[in-house]
Amino acid sequence: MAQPFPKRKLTDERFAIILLLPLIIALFALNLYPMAYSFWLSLTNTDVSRGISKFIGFINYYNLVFKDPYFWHSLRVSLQFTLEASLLAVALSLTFALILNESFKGRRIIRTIAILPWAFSTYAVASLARYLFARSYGLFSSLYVYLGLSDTPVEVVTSESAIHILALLFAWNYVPLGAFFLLAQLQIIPLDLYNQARIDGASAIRRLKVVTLPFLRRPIAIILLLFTVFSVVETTLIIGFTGGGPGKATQTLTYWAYAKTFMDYEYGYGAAISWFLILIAMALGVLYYYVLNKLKL
Amino acid sequence: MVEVRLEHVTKIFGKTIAVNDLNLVVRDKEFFVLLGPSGCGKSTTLNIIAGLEKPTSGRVYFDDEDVTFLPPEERNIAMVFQSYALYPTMTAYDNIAFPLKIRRLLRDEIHKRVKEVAEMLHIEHLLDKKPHQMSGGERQRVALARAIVRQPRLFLMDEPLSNIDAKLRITARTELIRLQRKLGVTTIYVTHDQTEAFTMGHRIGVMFNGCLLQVGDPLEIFERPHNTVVAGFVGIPPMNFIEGHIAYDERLGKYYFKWNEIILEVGGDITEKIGGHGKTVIAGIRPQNLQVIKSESYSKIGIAFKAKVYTVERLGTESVITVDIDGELLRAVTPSELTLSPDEDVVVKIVNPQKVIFFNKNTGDLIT
Ligand SMILES: Nc1ncnc2c1ncn2[C@@H]1O[C@H](COP(=O)(O)OP(=O)(O)OP(=O)(O)O)[C@@H](O)[C@H]1O
Ligand SMILES: [Mg+2]
Repeated sequence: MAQPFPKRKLTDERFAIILLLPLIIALFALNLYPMAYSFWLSLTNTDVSRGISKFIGFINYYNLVFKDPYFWHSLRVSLQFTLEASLLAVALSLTFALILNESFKGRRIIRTIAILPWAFSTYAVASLARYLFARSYGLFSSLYVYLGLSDTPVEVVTSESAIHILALLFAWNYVPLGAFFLLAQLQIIPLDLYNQARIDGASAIRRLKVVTLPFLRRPIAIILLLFTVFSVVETTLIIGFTGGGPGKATQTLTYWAYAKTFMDYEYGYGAAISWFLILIAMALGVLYYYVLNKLKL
Repeated sequence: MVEVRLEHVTKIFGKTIAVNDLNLVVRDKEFFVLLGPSGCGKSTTLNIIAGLEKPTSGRVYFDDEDVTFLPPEERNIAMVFQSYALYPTMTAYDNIAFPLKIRRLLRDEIHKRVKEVAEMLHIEHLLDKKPHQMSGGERQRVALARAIVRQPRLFLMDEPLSNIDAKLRITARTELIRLQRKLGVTTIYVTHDQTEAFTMGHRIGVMFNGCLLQVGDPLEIFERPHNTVVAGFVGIPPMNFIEGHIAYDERLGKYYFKWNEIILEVGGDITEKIGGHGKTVIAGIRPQNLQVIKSESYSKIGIAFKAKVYTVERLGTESVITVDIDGELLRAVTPSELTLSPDEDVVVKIVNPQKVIFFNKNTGDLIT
């Protein structure tokens, strides 16, 4: 007897879609809808404190670029922070990965300690930094006095130094992530290659160049991309540590968008700044894609 | 080029004794093969000779120079690894040129020497390729070229042929031998493949559990293995061991080894060493020394005994026949033309009784 033709079969694709459905809905609700809404907001003059909300087209964007001096300032601060923070984080990640890859006594303990900063929430890092860098009772200020470099407590966080200290804190927070990512790569490099290089007479630096680095090119590019994106959108650290100050020294675009939106309640203008940020992030993404492809990584 | 001498070399990793009190002299210009099963310490020994590992104790000499603590780059040696260890981002040319570049040779000189070895190994067409664009056999040649180009005083090779297919391996083997004889560079070659060891080595060292059990030329190792471990490891299929006892025939005034129907005359000197009449001893008989004959075509010449066919394994021109004698299984190699089937009654003959060797039952050592 012929089998009845199965009418509704749960194909692999259908099953996959069913499994993905909750995620798709969540993505839509949590990402796409807010994005669309914020784009709509950026086209209005919504100001909660003044209770106005009117469609004004691209006026916000126009004002931002051509009228608002803070825009260019914040853009510059953002670029400086991103550049410094991501490069520093990558450089330190590489250094730590190379050190942790060596075999020495107590390596396991050191590895455990090294990953700790990653366990700190960024806000905790910021709060900790506030104490360490405080003028009257901070560790660094006291150190100055203790070492006789100054008679009175000093302000360590100045409008010149603040951005560098922020970059350092960012690096401190993210280096474990980068270092362990690179470390995982280092461990897959065949030992034979190092032995071969030693027999060929290559010095330690030469071995780093011909054996280690070729294996790290791609992962370094990946963490550089990751850190760039992370640092572009970094707000928690700035809110918790400097609040954009002293003055406006550490007011990045991201922080500014946050301040405009949630402190000045200018939702419309804040949204426009955010969309500028998205443009920057996209431009960076395209640039990276292009460079990575070019380097055949 | 150089004579390599290892004196009481021991290497301990944590609780593992990888190399155990190893003494060895590899002669100048010799092709020496270190043979042993996986994990017996061959690579560790080679790495110690290369300077990649420091021995826990013992000394390594190149001629009369103590090189035990000399770093590898100062030993003027070349090594070929099982993985070939080609630098992945460099072309074949750059890989081969690398050791010369490190030595700061002039560009033209480097070029000349790379071209020379490339020609010698027929890899001119590969020079622009990167490792991932080459087959296993091609990589092996490039790795070999990189070793040769330096004109070192010693070649160390760690299973360099184990990653290429069987057919190519045979050609590569012949070529490697030819090359070594031509260059005359002392070579230490590590393998677990006895065919490789027997076809390539001037002499072979058999390693087991970190110990060097025997050093000798291929024939010596095959015919007079120092103990049952070497005897059992060397030879395909492995040697047959049978445990029998010594009997004295008063009428003829001779000693015999007796087991079942097998009766073999044993020299007086051997008997003396075993301890005389009634003592147990192990006889070692190579499968090649046993001939299986169909019962009907058997005529009583020489030493033979009745047996039953247990299994037949055909290996092309030869077959390995396992026969059953009173529950004891022995292997014999016969030409494949002889068609036998399991449970068939056969007669097994010892082709050359002189080649049967005896081992001490307690120590496993060869009795000579
Ligand atoms: N770096 C190391 N640390 C700890 N143990 C090691 C190390 N290197 C080798 N060993 C141990 O020493 C023993 C000998 O290893 P070795 O690599 O010399 O064997 P091998 O004869 O080359 O084996 P194979 O034919 O599988 O390559 C093994 O038991 C191995 O586990
Ligand atoms: Mg090995």
